[in-house]
Amino acid sequence: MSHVISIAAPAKKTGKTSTAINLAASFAISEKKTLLIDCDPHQGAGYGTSILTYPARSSGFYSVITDRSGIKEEILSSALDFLKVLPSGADFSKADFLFGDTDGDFSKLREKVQAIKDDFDYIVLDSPSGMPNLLKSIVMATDWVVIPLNADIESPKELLSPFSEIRTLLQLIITSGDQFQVFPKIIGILLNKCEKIENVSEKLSNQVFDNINEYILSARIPYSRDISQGLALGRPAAFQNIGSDATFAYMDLAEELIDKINRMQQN
Amino acid sequence: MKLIEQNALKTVEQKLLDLIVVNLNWQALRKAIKSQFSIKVLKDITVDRGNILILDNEIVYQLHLGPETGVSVLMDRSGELIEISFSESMNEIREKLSKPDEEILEEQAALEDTSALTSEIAAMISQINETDQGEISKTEG
Repeated sequence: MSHVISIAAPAKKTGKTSTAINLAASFAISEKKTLLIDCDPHQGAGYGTSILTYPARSSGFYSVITDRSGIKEEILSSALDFLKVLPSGADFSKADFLFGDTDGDFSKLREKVQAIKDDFDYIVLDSPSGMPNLLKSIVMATDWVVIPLNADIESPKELLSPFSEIRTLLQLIITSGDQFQVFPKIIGILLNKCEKIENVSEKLSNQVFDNINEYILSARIPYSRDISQGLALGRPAAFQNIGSDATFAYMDLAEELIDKINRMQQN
Repeated sequence: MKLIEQNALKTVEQKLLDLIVVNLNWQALRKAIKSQFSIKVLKDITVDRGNILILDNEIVYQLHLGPETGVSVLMDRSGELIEISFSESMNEIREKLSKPDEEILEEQAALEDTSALTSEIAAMISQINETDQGEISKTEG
């Protein structure tokens, strides 16, 4: 059975793109047929280019959702046998307006993804910040949502804004689900950039995280140069250093998600 | 008889001290101050300056914490803490390392707000994950 997972958070700098690219690579390394769809126009230019095999010509996902080309013809191969990539395309920044026009457009992205769903074990969608219509459309196209959270904070005040944004996302999922009769589930909140996580826990005591402990994923993504440098080059941390803490953390994340999805489906 | 330029040695010593500062485990140091002197270090601290000293015929490193806290830390060549010493009264030190009451109150308020938010988020995730098709209308209505 195939699964569509979106990496979604309205706030900036939560690690959405690094999570998407590294999670997709980790699924692929685990020999799961995986498609990474770039739905973040801000990352579009260099995203994934270093892992693509050449010739890497694609008009991108924007061309697909505007019916100018078929989704299968825009999907590119990568250096990993089990990983395919669908770039966003040059005009993807217009997508937010596209989905803002009519309610009907919200289901278009879902229709396109559903059309190729059975070709893959996992489809991972990156999502943008500051594009509410596009984000809504992405979330409605997915079965599962992972919410990344930047844990590199010094005081509780810094968590107020990202948690408020998470609440906004959840409200969006609830109201959109009602509107479109599509009900994606939340796999969990992923703590990114965890260099100071012990410090964070100490400062926040258990008061804050205890409330949502059962929804925080066990995998912790460390702050790592392998992640940031890899992202700058458009490739996963595993391509920077296969033996790094970051690579193992993303492999743990992939394993945890596979297991959690199976368990959530059984319930 | 001068065997090496003084500046060359000073530069290398400073580089060593800078490296020690870069690699300093601040969390462990905060814990040590808390456990030994019951002072919770809440302000951002830095290292004002460092010295290389001899103690009991062994090289040790001394770091003076800043900005002007009056606290210095002594560690041996294996990185083990030897002692933390204060050049000012405990009350003065406490004032310099802790935050003003207003800031503590502000942080406490933020903690309570964040705690309320996470509680709300947990309830929403539970609702989303436990709601099957068609049920959201009922719960939202």
